[in-house]
Order: sequence, then structure tokens, then C-alpha cells
Amino acid sequence: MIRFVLLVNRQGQTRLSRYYQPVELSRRAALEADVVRCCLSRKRDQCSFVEHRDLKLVYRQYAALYIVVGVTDAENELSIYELVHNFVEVLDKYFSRVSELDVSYHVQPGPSSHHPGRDDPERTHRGDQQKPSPCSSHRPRQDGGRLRLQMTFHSQ
Amino acid sequence: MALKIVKGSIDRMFDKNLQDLVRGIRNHKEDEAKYISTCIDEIKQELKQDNIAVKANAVCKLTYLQMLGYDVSWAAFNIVEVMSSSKFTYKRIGYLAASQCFHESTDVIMLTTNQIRKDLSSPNQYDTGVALTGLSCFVTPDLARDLANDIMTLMSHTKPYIRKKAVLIMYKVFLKYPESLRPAFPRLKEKLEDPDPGVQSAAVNVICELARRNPKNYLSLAPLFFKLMTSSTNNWVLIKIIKLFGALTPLEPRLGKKLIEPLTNLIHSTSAMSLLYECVNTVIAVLISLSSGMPNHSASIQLCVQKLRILIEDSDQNLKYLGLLAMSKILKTHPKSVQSHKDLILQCLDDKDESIRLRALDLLYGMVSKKNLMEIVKKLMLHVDKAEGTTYRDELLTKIIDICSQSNYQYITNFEWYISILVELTRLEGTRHGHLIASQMLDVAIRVKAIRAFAVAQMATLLDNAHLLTGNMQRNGICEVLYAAAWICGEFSEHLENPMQTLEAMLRPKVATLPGHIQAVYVQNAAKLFATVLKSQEGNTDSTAAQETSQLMIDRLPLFVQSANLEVQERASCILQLVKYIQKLQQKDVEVAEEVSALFAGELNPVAPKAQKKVPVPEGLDLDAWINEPPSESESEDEQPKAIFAKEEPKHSRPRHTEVDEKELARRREARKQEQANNPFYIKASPSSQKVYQDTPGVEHIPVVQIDLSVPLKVPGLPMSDQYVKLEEERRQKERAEKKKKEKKKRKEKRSGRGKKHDSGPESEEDITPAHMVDIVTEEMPENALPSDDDDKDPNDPHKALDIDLDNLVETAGRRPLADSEKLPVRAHRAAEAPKSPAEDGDAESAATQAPKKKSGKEKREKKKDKDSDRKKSKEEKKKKKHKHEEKEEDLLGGQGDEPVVQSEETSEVAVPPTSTSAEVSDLDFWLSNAPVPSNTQKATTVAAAEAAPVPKLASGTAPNSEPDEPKDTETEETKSSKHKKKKQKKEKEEKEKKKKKKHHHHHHHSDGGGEESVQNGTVEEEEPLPPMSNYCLLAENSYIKMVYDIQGNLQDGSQVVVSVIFENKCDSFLKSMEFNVLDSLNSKLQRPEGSGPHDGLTVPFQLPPGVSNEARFVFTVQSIVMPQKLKGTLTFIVKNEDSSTHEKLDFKLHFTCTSYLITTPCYSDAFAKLLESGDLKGSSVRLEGVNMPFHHLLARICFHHHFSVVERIDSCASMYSRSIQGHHVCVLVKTSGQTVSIDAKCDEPTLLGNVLDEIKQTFSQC
Repeated sequence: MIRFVLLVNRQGQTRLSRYYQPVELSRRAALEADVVRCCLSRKRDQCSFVEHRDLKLVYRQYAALYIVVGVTDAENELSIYELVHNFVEVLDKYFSRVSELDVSYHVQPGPSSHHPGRDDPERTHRGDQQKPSPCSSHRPRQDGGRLRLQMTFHSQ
Repeated sequence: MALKIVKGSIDRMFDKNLQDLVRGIRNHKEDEAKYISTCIDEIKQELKQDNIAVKANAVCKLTYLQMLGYDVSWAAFNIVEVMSSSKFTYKRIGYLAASQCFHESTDVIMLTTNQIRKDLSSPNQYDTGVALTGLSCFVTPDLARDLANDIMTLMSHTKPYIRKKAVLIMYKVFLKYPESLRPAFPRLKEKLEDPDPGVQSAAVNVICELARRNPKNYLSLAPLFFKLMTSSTNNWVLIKIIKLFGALTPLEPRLGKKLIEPLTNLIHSTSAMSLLYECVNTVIAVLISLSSGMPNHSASIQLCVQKLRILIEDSDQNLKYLGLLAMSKILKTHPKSVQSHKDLILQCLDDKDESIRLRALDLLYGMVSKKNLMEIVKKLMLHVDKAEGTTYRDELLTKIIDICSQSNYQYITNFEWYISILVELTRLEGTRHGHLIASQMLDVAIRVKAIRAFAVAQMATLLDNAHLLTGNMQRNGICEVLYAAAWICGEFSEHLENPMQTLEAMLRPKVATLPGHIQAVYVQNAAKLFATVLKSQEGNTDSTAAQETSQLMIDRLPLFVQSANLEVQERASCILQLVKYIQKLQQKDVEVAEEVSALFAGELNPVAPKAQKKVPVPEGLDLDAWINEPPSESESEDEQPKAIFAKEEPKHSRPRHTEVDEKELARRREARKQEQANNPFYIKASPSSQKVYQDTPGVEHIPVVQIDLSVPLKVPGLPMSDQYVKLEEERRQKERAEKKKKEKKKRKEKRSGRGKKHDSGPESEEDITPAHMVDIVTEEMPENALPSDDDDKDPNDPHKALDIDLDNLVETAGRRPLADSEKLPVRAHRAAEAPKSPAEDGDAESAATQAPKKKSGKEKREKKKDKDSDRKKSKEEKKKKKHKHEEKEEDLLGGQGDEPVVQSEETSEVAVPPTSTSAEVSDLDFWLSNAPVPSNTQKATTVAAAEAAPVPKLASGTAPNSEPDEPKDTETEETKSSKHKKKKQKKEKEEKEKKKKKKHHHHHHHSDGGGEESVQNGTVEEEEPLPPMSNYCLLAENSYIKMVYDIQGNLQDGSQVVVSVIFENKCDSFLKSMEFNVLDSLNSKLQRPEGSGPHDGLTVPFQLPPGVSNEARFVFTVQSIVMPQKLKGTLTFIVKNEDSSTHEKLDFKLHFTCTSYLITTPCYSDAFAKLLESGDLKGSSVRLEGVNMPFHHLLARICFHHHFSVVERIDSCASMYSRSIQGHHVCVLVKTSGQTVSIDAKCDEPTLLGNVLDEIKQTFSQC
């Protein structure tokens, strides 16, 4: 069973979190910090499964965004791994080329007609500030340095 | 008015929306906390407005803040408001917020029941969907109970979107409200064959999740899942199903056999790695569950290992990791098959990913042999040198030690090599495992006598070079090694070549910087060394050397005397004085060496960890007997620990007391063990291999090491373990050569013998003789060692309650096997009614029961007929089948039943789904007995099938069950064995069920429910049905309104009780604006929403039209629960007619009985006994005269009114248990004889107990 899904950026900030079992707020912060530490410290060439206390963490990195899923011990890691990718594909369809900023601005449920920030000068500025990382596929567009999610999908 | 709206929308324009908030937070990186606190202030303002859009926006922002880790529980009520908005966009925001913020102890959840119910039945599927999704996150036991029926209805909704969600949320409902499982299960099972794949997948998920925890109840679904597995193409579903089978096979090995084939087919055919991995895992599980006597499954194991090898060889790190993980599972049962892939695993040790290296290390543990140990360890040592991270290096270190020391150093052939390895390991920087190395050194040096000389030499070098180890020793744990080194050098100082040098090394000033416990050992062992040195020096004619040594001690020891560590100080000053005295004697030319060394004479022998326990108890000594007369008060308890109620219950106690037999003794021993385990001062023993107890205690029975040193090694300086590897090679070659020679000789001698026994081919395990003949002290176990019978199930596991027998439900899909009492509570207004007088009660009961009772008798007879004919039919069918089976074995291999069976030429290809009628599907035994088997065992299968078939029939025939709807041919062995447990659960369940029903006042069902119960309990039929009972009692009443109430403890919070009040409108007017208020006492307070004053009333969240009743709940916090209490309160309300409206009020007194603080808690008899034995409980008793009711009614009444559960019932005795919300245990023994009922009770809180007993007495005095 999936216990939680976290979207964390490279700086360790939680962009989106969803818990499927209530966790106390204080414990939540500690848990997220632990999870982030576990996953972000791993290199690209390391496997995507981490054992953490009684949970297994399955994570995938897309550009500067990490998607971490906490699952119970009995779960099939590979299927969750694939599920994460399905999720990202859905996001990508919905936002048409999703980026970290989409995830952080569009937490509001319901389709919103305008995408604030798409052509927002402030955002462009922010995008420039972001340092391009070696592993992100960095494709600058006219609206500034938007980070694209890199699709690295092992066909399985 | 219009102006107001315009103004409102203008206001809204200036409100921040969520995007603004996110942007704002990003723009205030420096003072984020401050910014957010101003935002929260704004949100609070927005929440105060009436405009729902503003509120929704505010709640939306709060949800985001909650995600960032800010507490928003104060806005819970606003979230409920937004949830109940009629507009979907707002409702959705509300539900999202609720799903994020609410948890079981959020009290406003109680207010949402009706809203959620409304949304669930909304015509808009999205309203329903959003309610279901939200509910899944915050469902509470109350919500689950109240909404279970609604959700169950939704499982058959026309839209798959809703069906899917409803099915999924049922899992959460089952967890919170286990009683719903049985009634909901048939429909859930139906959904397995839903036309929509999404719904089907949801159902598979739910059942898999349930079945993993309580697999035995789902065995009967195996055929259905088998069919799904062979027909489904959805990999997600397949993974779940295969996982489920993995859980089922340990219970039913035949299932495993049936599964192997389709699984291996899948392994061959699938391209999805996740599915492949799951299949391999399940095949491994299946093979583990099958006994090892299955030679033809080695192919499957080979297949798995091969596939895993492919995974491990893959460049994808994830696959590599999982492959190693699965490999370690195989290793446990089939080490041989894994060992052949040693090369690959060693290769993984070089992987760049640390987690992969760690997995590979795990595998290594099982792969070592005498032959390859040195080689593997050498490789690991290389890794130790290369490793960067300390964690990985530490892991390597522990693994090396684990591997070498496993099963009592079984694989070590050369201990000198091992010591060298240990010494090399000490050169690791910054390891935390110094103590581990130290204990290994000590262990080896003590237990392997022959190695001592070598070990001492090595340790002396270590001590000499201590400065190398202790660079910055406070932080690094490696200095622990010096502890071992000092001790070994001191204790076995006779082996030292140059004791004087070592002594000096041990007395260096730098030693004072070592940790205290190590210094203490240094000081003590310096004294031992001193004795040795003296002895050698006194032999010489020159006495000055000896005196110099004493002087050295006297010079150096004061450093330690000044130590801050007490132990060091004490030892040092003691020894200093001793040495000073010796010096005095030496100056008088007295020979002291003998006497000094006598101080340390005698060898310290290794003692098995359990040796202390082995000391036999002398005859006639009873350790359990009292030395002094026990204090009179507790006498009975202590002497008869189990029979606490002994004085009242001779029947029970006597047999136990007289036969203080083995059982009792074993139990006492167990108790003592428990006590010892809890006693920090008791020296504990670690578990070890079992061995027969030897009579003579002490050191004689410890095997003495006999070592023949064939390789006298004197390696100067620090040893290099590699040299040993070479030497070992040479030695082995030599041995081999010798052996060959010998064998040749032998062969020559007896050519005509039985043939060669030894093969001179590649060296086998047994051929390697250890360099040292080592007898290592084996550890012993006490003769009464029991396998640990710990219940590995967590008592808090919510799945425990879901261990519910579903078989008879499943198998009679067409019929309606559910007892009425088991139906889910259906929504109904809780009609307010005063408890009936006892006389009325009785009348109602008898009137209600008579008619259906007769009817049910008739029905029973009819059913029986049916049953018989059915049974005949099925028998015939089976006969036919058997016949067929003999004719054409292939026919039955895959499929069964009347439908044409797909013919297949070869057994290996059979994977035909069993397409058959429901009645046949239910016959698991039969289905399983058709498992494909090799053709030469055809006869055996026929027999098996023949045997399997009649067994269930017999079972159902002899079962004491006369339930009319009892299914036939269904009782499998599993269900029978667990019947006892289930019975108990059932009983409780029914108790609760009934309670609920009573709340709903479905009077016509009562008799059925009662009748059903006695049957289901498996008890005798003579027991009469129970009269209806209600816990609701009158609170207050006037001409307008009547209030009845019930108080229940809150399971989650030890300081809360929930008062449910049913308001009934008795007049023809409309009642509105009801306000419920209570004068708080110090001890009990009404919980009011945040922000309201301590004397404010609570608004009752509904209005009452004429003649309608409704229930509201109020939460009270209580501090002490030992005393009953009364709270005064008032209800104010407005009575509204067409023309007028008047304010009215009604005073009432809420009576918090002690009973209301008790919560029905199931308790097993062993736990119950333990509780009583603990001696923490104080006793009390009460006697009731003239109670005229059947015993089971009496029990039911106590259970129902006082929230007890029956632990055990024997004839007219029953033990019962309950627990208070603050965790007090209340144990009660009820005994009846004639009209007298005696109740003995124990509780850790005597006041509480006294009050509860008074209340029980009260209950029966009213009867």
C-alpha cells in the first residue's frame, strides 16, 4: 500500500505532499526531512529503492524534481516505480510539458483557465536564478529558463 | 442587499488566492514565517465572512499551509462548512482540506456524517466521488459504522467511476468497522468479475490487502483468483493476484503445486520486469512452503535463479538490487543453487552503488565454506581498504566478523589467520565497531587454547603500537581493541616473550587518555604482568632487576590513582599499596614472587552463557516455596497464582492445585524467565544451540581444546593475513598429496573392496582439515527450552479484527447466509423512547419470538431435506467425475465440471481456468485435488480426490451447527481449527451488533437476532433468545421534547467520553435553535469549539419538525474516572408555531456512571490469566440474590450494559473483561447457583471497581 507521495525539489523543499494515512504534523516534518536526506544524497547511478524504517521508498528524479513514494514492505517496488512514471506522464499531458513551477503553483484543485507565471516576468526572473544542474536536461525557452522534466523511462 | 453582494465581491478581488500566497511565500524567503503568520491572520478574517467563496478560498490556502507543516486544526469547523457547500468547486476544496487535515480525533468529524451521506447519494457522480475520496482519508469507526451501508450500495452504482471508488474505500471501512466485512463481502466478491477493468482491479486490490493479513479466510477464493490470473492481461492486477497467492500457499501446499506451472509460464513469457519479479518472488515463496521432498521442483528453482541472474547482470541498478534481494530469499532454503553464482555476487561487491554492495554482502554470508572463506575475506579486506564511506566500511567490518564467526567458527580452518585479520581490522580509521573486534579477540583467545601464544604475541605488538590506534581516540571506537589486548596479555602473560616490555607499554603516561574502563583493565593486568615479571626475575641471582620493576610500578601507578574514573582509581590505589608492600619485602630480601602470582592463580575458563542456569537445583529445594510465611493478605494470590477467585470457585482451583505437574512447573519457569528478563541485575543468557544437560556443573564439562600446531608461525611485527592464505594453500596441497598417497595405498590394499569411497577429484568440503584441531566450547540450553511462542501478530494491528470467517458467505452466494443481526446498520432516525419497564420487556420479547421460532423450525426441516438431496446430487457428480478421472486423466488436470474441458496433449501445458458452477468452485478441496501431477502418480491422485471429497461432508455433518442456512460441504480444515477463536469474536460482534440495532429500534428483528446468536455461538439450542436491551436512558422530558442519552468512552482518547443524546419532538410545533449547555465541574467539562467561553452552550446542529427525533453527540473531557458523577445542564430551544414562537428551556442531569468509562475490549484467556497473576489488581466482590434469568441473559446484560466481554465461559461460571478509557483493567468472574449470583472482580483501581460493581448490582435490582 502507498503511504505517502512527496514531490521534493533538489533544495529539499517539499513541493507537494499527500499522505494516505494521517501523520502528525510534527512527525511529518521529521519524516520528510529524513526521506529527503535519504533520497537526495543518492547518485544517479544508484538504485531507486531505499529502505527507511518500516517503509520502502521508491523515488524517481525528473530534472530538479524528485518524486518519492513511501510504500509498505509488501509492495512491488518495480510496479510503484512504473506508477510514478505514469503519474508524471499524466502531469505532463495536463500541463503540456510540466515543470516544477507547475507543480508548485497549481496545487489548487480544479482546472484553472490561466496559468499564472507562464508569462509572468517575476517568474522568468526566478527561472534564471535557478542553477542548471548537470543532470537536468535544460532547454531554455523564450519564457525563461524553465526546467523540463526529463523523461528517462526504462521500457519495461 | 445588492450593495452588500457587490461589496463582497469587491472584497474578494483584493483577497489573496492560492497562487498569490505561493508567490508571496517565494518572495519572502527571508521572513517566511512572519509572512505566513500575517497570511494566517488574513485567512482568519476571511473565514469570519459569510461569503462561502471567500471561505473556500481561505480554506484552500490553509490546505497549502498545512502541507507546508503549519497547524490548521483550528479551522476544522470552517472546513466542514466548505465541505457542505452545494457548489462542487467549493465542496471539492473542503473535502481536500478535510482529507489532509482531519484524523480520527478531530471532533468535528461527528458533525459530518449527514453531510457525507447526502453527498454519497448525490445525483452528481462527482459529488459522490469527492466524498468517497475524502472519506477514505479520515474515516472513523463511527463514520464507518454509519456509512457502511451507503457505501455498500454504491458498490453497485451504475457508473464504474463510483463503483471503483466505493470498492476501494470499503477497505478503510473494514479496518475501522470490522463487523461490516461479512455483510459486504459477497458484493465485494462480485466485483472481482465486474465488467469494468478498473472496478475489477480495485476489488482485487482490496481483497489482496485483506487476504495478506488473514489469508486462511480467503483460501476458498483461490479458484476464482486462479481463473483471473490465467485470463487477465492487466499486469497491475496480475501482480496483486500473484502476491495474494504468495500469502495463500503456506496454508495450502497443494495450491502451490497448482501454481508453479502457470507462474513459470508467466516467467517465461512476460516482458514486464515488475511482473517477472513478482512471479519469481512467489515461486520462491511457494517452493519454501513446499517441503523439500520435491525433486522435480529443482527445475523451478533453477529457472528462478537464472532469471535473477539476468536481473543482476542487467545494467539497470534497480533490477540488480531487486535481483540480489530475491536471491537472498532463495539462499535461506536453497543455498546450493545460489552458491553457484558466487562469481556474480562477488562482482556486485565492486558495484558503485552502496545499497547493491550491501545486498551482495548479505548474500555472501550464506556462501562461505571452509574452502573459500579465506578467499572471500581477502576480497572483503580489499574492499575495506578501498571503501570511502565509514558506514559502508563498518558494514563490511561487521560482515567479515559475522561471516567468520558464524556457527561457532565453523568455517575457520586457521585461527592464526583469523587473529591476523582481526589485527588488520584494527587499522581501520574511525570505525565504530572496536568493541566487536575486541570481543572476537577475547573470544578466540579464551576459547582456542592453542592460539593463545600467537594471540598474546600479536596483542603485545598492538599494545606496543597503541599510539597508532589512539590517534584521536576519544572519537574513534577502535581503542576498544586495547581493552582486549591488555586483558589477553595480562591473563596469558606466561606466553609473553618480553613481559617487561609489555608492562612498560601498559604503564605509559599516554594510557591515561584512554577511556576509563580500558584504563581499569590496563591497571589490573599490569598487576598480573608484574607478578609474571617478578617470578622470572627472582629466579635470577640479581635481585635489583626485581626491585627496579617494583619501582617502575610505584613510579607509574600514581598517575592512575589520580584518575577521575572511580574504577581506575580504586584498582590503582589498591595495587599501588600492594606493590609498595612488596617493595618493602624485597628490600628485606624476602622472596615474594610465588605469593604475588598466587594472587592471580587459576585459569579463567570460558563459561557458556547459560552455565549459570545449568546449576542443578539440589534435591528437596523448592525455589518457589516461601522462605518466610508470606504476608497473610496476599497469601491466596501467591500460592494459587492462577486461581484468583479460588475461595469462591473450588471446582476450578482444585485440579490445578493438586496437579502441580509438569505443565504448572513449566509455566512457573516461564514466569520466572519473564521476571528475570525484566530484571536488569539478572545476568542474562543468550540463546544458543540445544544440548543435553550434563550433571556436573563447573568447568570440567567444558571441552578442552586440543590443538596440534602444525604451522608454527612467527611472523615478526604486524601480521599479514595474506601470507596465511598462501600458507594455507600449500598446506592443503600437501595434505591432498598425502591423502592421495594414502588412498593409492588403500586402493592397492583392497582393490576388490567396495569401491572407492574418496574421490580424488576436486577438493570437497570434508577434505579440508583445519590447521588446528579446535574444540570450541559449545553453548548449552536449559532442558526446558521452549521454542519462542511469541505471537508475532501485533495486538494493535487493525487487521486482527478482520480475521473473520467468510467461507459460508462465499460459498452460498445464491442464498442469504447473513444473520439479521449482522446486517449493516441502515439509516434511520433514532427514535427516542424511554427504556421499557422489565415487565413490558418480557412480554414484548415472548410475543415477538414465538411466531418466528415456530417458523424457523419448519424451515429448518425443509432445508434439511434440501440439504440431503443436494448432498446426494453432489456425491453423484463427484462419483461421475472420479469415474471420468480414471478413464482419461488429462480431462481433469486443468478444468473440471460439466462444461467441456479443454483437451491438452501434455500435462505441462495445462493452464485451463476452472470454468465451473459456483457450487463446484466452492469446493476448494476438490479443485485442489485436481492439481496437475505426473502421470505415473495417477492412482494416487484418484485416491486423494476420493479422500478429499468425503472429508468436508463429514465435517459438516458432525458440526454442532444447526443454522438453517449453513452451507454444506464447506467446512474446511482451516476453518475448523480456528473455530474457537472465531466463536469468541462472533459473540462479541453480535453483542455489538445488537446494541446498534437497538439503537435503531428495529424491534421486529430482535427475536431473530437473539435466536440466531445462540445458534451461531455453537451453544445448545435450549438457550432462550435475549430480550431487547437499550442503553439509552431518559435524560429529561417535558411536553415539547424528550431527551434520552447514552455515554460511551472514546477509544482514542483516555480523557474523553461521548454523550449521544436523542432529541424527540413530542409536540406539534417546530423546534429550533436548540442549545445544549452543561455546568462544568472540575472533573468533567463539555468540549466547546475553540473561541467560545466556558459557559457558552453548544448549538444542536439540527432542527426538529413535529414528531421527529434525531441524535446529537457531545464530547466531554473527564479527568478522574473512578467516581460516578452528575452534571447539571439546560437545553434551551425555540418552539415555533405558525403564529408565534416561544423560548423554552428544560433542565436535566447527566449521570456519568463508572460503567460509561468502560470500553468493551476483547481479551484472550491467556492474557486474562496473566493479568490476574500480575498481582497488581485489587479484588472486591458482590452477591446478588433473587436473580431470575438464564445465565446467558445475565452475561449478555453485563456485556451490554456494562461494556464487558466474555473471556471464557464454563457451565455456570464465566470470566469477563473490560477496560476503562484510561487503561484500567477490570476482570470479573460471574458465578451463578440457583438464584444467587456472585460476582468477584479485580481491578487496579479499587474505587472504580467498587462503583462498577454497585452499578451492576443496580442493573439487576431493576430486573
